[in-house]
Amino acid sequence: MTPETLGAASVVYVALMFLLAHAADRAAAAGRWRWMDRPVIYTLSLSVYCSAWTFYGAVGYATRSGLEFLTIYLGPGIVFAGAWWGLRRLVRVARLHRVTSIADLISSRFGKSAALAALVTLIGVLASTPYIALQLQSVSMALSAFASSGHPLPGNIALWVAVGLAAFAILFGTRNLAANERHHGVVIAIAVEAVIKLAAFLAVGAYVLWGMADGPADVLARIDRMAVSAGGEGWQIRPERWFTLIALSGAAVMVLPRMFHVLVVEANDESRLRQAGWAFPAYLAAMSFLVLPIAVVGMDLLPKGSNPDLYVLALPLSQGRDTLAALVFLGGFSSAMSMVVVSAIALSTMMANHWLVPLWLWLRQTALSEPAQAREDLGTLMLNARRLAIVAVIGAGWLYHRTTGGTTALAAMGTVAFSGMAQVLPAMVAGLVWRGATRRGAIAGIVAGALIWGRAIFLPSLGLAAPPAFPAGIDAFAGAVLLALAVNLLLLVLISLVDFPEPTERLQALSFVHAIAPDASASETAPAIQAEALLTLAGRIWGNDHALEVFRKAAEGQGKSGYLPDLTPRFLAGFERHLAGTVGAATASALMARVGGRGSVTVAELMEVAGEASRAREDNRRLELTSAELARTAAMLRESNEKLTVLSAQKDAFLGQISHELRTPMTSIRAFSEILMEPDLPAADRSRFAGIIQDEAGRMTRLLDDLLDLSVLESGRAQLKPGIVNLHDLIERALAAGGASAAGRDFAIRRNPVAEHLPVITDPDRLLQVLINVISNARKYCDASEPAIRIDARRSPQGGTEIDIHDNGSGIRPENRALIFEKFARLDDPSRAGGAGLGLAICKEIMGFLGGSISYLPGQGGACFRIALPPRPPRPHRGTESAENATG
Amino acid sequence: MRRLFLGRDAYRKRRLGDAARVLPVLFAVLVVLPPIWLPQYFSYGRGAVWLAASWALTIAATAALHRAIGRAKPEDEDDA
Repeated sequence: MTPETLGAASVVYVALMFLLAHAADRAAAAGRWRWMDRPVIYTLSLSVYCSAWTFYGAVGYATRSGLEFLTIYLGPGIVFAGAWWGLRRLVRVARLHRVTSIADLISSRFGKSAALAALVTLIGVLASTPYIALQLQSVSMALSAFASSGHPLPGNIALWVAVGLAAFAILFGTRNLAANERHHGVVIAIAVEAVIKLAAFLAVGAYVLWGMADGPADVLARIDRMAVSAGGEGWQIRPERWFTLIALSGAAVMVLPRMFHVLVVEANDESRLRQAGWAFPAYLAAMSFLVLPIAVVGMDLLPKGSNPDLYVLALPLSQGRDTLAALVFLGGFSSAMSMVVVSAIALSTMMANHWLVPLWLWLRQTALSEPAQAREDLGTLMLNARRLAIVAVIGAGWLYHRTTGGTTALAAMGTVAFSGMAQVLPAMVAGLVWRGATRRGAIAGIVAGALIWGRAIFLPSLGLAAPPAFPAGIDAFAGAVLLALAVNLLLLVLISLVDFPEPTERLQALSFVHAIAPDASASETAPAIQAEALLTLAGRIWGNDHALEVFRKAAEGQGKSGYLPDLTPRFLAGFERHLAGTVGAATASALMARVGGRGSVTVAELMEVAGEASRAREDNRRLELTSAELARTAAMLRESNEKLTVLSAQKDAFLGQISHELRTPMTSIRAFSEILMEPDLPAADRSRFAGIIQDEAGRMTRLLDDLLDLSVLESGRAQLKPGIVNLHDLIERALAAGGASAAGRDFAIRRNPVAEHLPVITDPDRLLQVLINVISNARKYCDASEPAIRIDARRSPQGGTEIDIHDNGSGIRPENRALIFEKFARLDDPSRAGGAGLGLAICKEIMGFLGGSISYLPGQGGACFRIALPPRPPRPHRGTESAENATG
Repeated sequence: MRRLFLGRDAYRKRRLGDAARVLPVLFAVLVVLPPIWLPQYFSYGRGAVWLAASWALTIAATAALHRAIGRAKPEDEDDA
């Protein structure tokens, strides 16, 4: 087995993972993700904790320091034994606030502080660098174990590994900007890798335990011989290190960016912690106790100078078990790969949300809500920021690997990362259990702890500073960690005790400590946010479709139709949290402030809210259900009442108008026919007058045709003639017909011909009628100086077809939007329109008849109509048919 | 508002929640204290057996406890 073969095998392996992740992502996109949303997948994905450190480093660690290596797994064991108590609370609160990362959690708890988020991100990036370097180093080290002597490996293996993993992370971590930070493809891939690394480690462990040693009793005897052997004093447990490392690893399993990501962000609900609470420790125990036989047998059998980090490969190789060694290599590669990919995704989300986007917002001081002429796509900007961040994170890991020269023991690099990230723990725990913890306290504690960590642990690990001199008898690492954490905690508590936090922060503290949804948010006093501005903002981040869907659901919940809900405090708080699920709480809050120019709450207002709340809470609970129902009904009634009032007035007006419309041509027909009766009329005049009579009669006929058409549709007596038609041809015909009746203005038509080639099953003539009507309306009413019409067509996720017709005019005023689909509702002066205001009413009836709908989309920077068709037209109604036969 | 007294099922569920709190503390005591007090005794084979046994027991207890919690009827306000 040569390194080249193994390299090729790894490439094939990565390609397989690519396919798997791709398939899972596709299934998730199609809504078939229930099967991968199981507790067992969640538990397996947690095993990303077992990185290459566990695979190679743990054996080296055990060889050098004995049982101390177990501390790295005992810490998580303790934390997960309390999963139903501690972790469940963490997951619940994080889901409540749609937290995207550990930095987001802490920033959100401490008043959505952008500074705190940026600070935690910085620590995350610094601490993860040695950890990623560890993975890269392990892969190149493992390959070197296979190289025959005098046959050196190419020097840049670590670089190629880094490039490949960055590509994987970019492809599957930054596909789209979801409203929650879940990545099904990646999770499935790491769950499968978890199985592979467990199988590989079990195989080599069992082989060593029973194939090379004589079972557990023999291994224990070998361990006991260590006590009296030469290298045995390193095995003696050092109490301060024992305690410190258990505490550190317990912290790490919650606060390491990748662990927080799989444990909290990817968790769909808290109930799966019931299984993970025992299954994940079982996984860890199986992996960690097999380390012992490999370590002691390696020490006994392998030559003195060999690298203990590679015993796990060297043992099977020394016995000529090449296939087993290759399996072990793949297991180690899996563990390195899943760690680097998940870390890169988690860190890039943090860097993009907390560094790059706030920077960009600060650089651009313009209002974000204007449906700007140049509609910049914020979503793409954010995805690109993440891609950049992934390259930076993995690149930094590679640089660290280069700087340290790739010679450090793996476990030493891992503990540097753990101790750095642990500086976040005091703020996180205090934030979840103590309402009095404040932002300034958290910042002071984290900064002080991180500085001590940087000086006493991080820089020495790079060889850039000397390790601090502690009094003899105190372990330098344990001393530095305990000092940093103690100063961190002390500052956090002391400053919080004398501080007086801002109202936003106090609201968040209440919500985090008591795990209650913050319905009345700081946006209570929002003065002038426009629903449409929010819709535009959301559209720029999530894409128009998702934004429209969110707004439609919110409006529906309030009992309103259409896309614009009332801006109640509840809606605003929910919307901000939804936004925070994509960009983080601090950025979401900044965006909302930018759109609405929102003022902040005062302490007096806060106390008023709280006082009322506690008095009324009990009453409210009982009243809430009934009143919500009542409010919904009332909103519906109000809406329909307003509509009825306006319609009734319009009906009267229409009756007058229709009489007028019929009478005007009638009058001229009568007048001209009287003139025609004059015997001595010149032939030229005679034919001219006859022409006028004909035109007027035609106008009357058209009006009557429209009225008849409408009454046929409304009474359900229309005949559906379904057929299959290419949408492109239909739009082509509609444009030609609409163009024929246009008023001579030049319109720019923007289409996407490729996307339009969609087969549609419907009544083509009826659909054409609708298209012609909407397009000619756009031509008639668009008041832009350079008028343009844009037509987008595509399949909807449900299999139907959607056609959006935009123009760039001023659109339809909000107060008129409810009326445009009603009969005779012509909005401006009748002289500009050629009909009696029946066009859109007919369109609406036709679309209902075809089983689809036509609606007005607000916030698109002009008038925009969406025509939606079902996958197939509805079946004709038997009852009406027979009734019609009976009467006809 | 939390009720002051509960029926049998809800009472049982609260106590299961209490057990879930005790378990990690107990496990932490088992694995942290003995090696710190008697490093000489727990550094080698006996330590490995001790840690393996206490961890295996804890995992089994957690599994049983979580199963019981899952079976218990969900309480109205289980955020105890």
